[in-house]
Amino acid sequence: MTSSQPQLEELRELVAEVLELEPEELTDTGDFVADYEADSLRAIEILARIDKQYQVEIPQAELPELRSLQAVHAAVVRHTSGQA
Amino acid sequence: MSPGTESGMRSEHQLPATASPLAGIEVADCHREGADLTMTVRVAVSGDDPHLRGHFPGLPILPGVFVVEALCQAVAAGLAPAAGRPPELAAVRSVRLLAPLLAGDELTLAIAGSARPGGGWTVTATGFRADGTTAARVRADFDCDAAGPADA
Amino acid sequence: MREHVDVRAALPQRYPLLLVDRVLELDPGRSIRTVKAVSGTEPCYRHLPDGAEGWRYAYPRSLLMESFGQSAALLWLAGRRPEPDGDDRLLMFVAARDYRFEGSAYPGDVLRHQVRLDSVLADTAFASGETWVGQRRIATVASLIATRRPVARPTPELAGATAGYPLSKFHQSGEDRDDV
Repeated sequence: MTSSQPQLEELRELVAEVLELEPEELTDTGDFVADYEADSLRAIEILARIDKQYQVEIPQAELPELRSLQAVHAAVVRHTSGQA
Repeated sequence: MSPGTESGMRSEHQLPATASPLAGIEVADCHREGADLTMTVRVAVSGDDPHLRGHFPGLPILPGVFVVEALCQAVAAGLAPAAGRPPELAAVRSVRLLAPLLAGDELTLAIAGSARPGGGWTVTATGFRADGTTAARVRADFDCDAAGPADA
Repeated sequence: MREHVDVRAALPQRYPLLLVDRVLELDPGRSIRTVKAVSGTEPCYRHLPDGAEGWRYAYPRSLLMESFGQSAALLWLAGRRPEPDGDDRLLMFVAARDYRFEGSAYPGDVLRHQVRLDSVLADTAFASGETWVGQRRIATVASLIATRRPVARPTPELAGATAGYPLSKFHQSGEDRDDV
């Protein structure tokens, strides 16, 4: 594939691994803190993983908003430059 | 002395079976039934502990890795065969250190393990400070070594 | 290359928990290779009775992790500007994932850690790497995570003294980390 932008399902696996869940258990809109007992370290881990795996850098300032898989995916889309 | 399939409240100080930076753990509870193991162990954090004089000078803090060490000793105490090698730590799948334990505190580790069909044990543990704060969470795999004695 | 004197100047741990002997290679902020010699005189061996089997002398895997973590700390510190205000922070090991052990080290072995700094975000460092003894790889680390916490740095002249440190500052950050 020419696109380096991760798809939602790839992100689901990545985030689920950080949250120590099965991918099926992680819903699109489930709140990381309220529904999956995540702490602030997990949010930072998600950012670090995305950076390492996809070379997509999401600013730390956006950390507080990254509370669901949907929000993470939207942030990735926002910060993926037009890489071929 | 081996826990076997006994259960119930009992407090015994277990010396480490192998080289260790921890002088020993207190086994408060140990119950093993077939493929399941539950244990509660305690580790006191002392400013006089010779290992803590270096971690850190003037500010003794239980090193996070000592939570893993306590888990290893607990599994050894709970599962060691009568005259053989205790299970060996094969992997720490996940360890999270959530709050520090300072001198005067006590770590309580609540441990649950289950035997894997192919051999070895999968263990999860939650550590608490004396004030009840969750201090650590660990998931680890242990291997039971079927080989004979030393390669050293 | 950095000798033990330099390691000691960079890290606050002291005997017997300063677990890096020498830095062999350093690419600041990117990668580091360190060594630590395992010796039978270390306190972790003291309690073993005479006649204990050889396998009981395996270097504790928890201390392998600590040694690797301190190597990661050196790497992180080397990549940073020194703090101008002197409010030094303690690098605390806070988490690890998929830390796998493939073998053991024994007195006389030299641990060689190869550590990569994968990223640093929000005062949190993510490292990965391996530990070798000679040609034998004995551990692989998918992720080791450390963070910086404000606390008065132990100074050499106070090392070993009973004088306390301002714990309240540290306690606060400790409580911040409570899991909800």
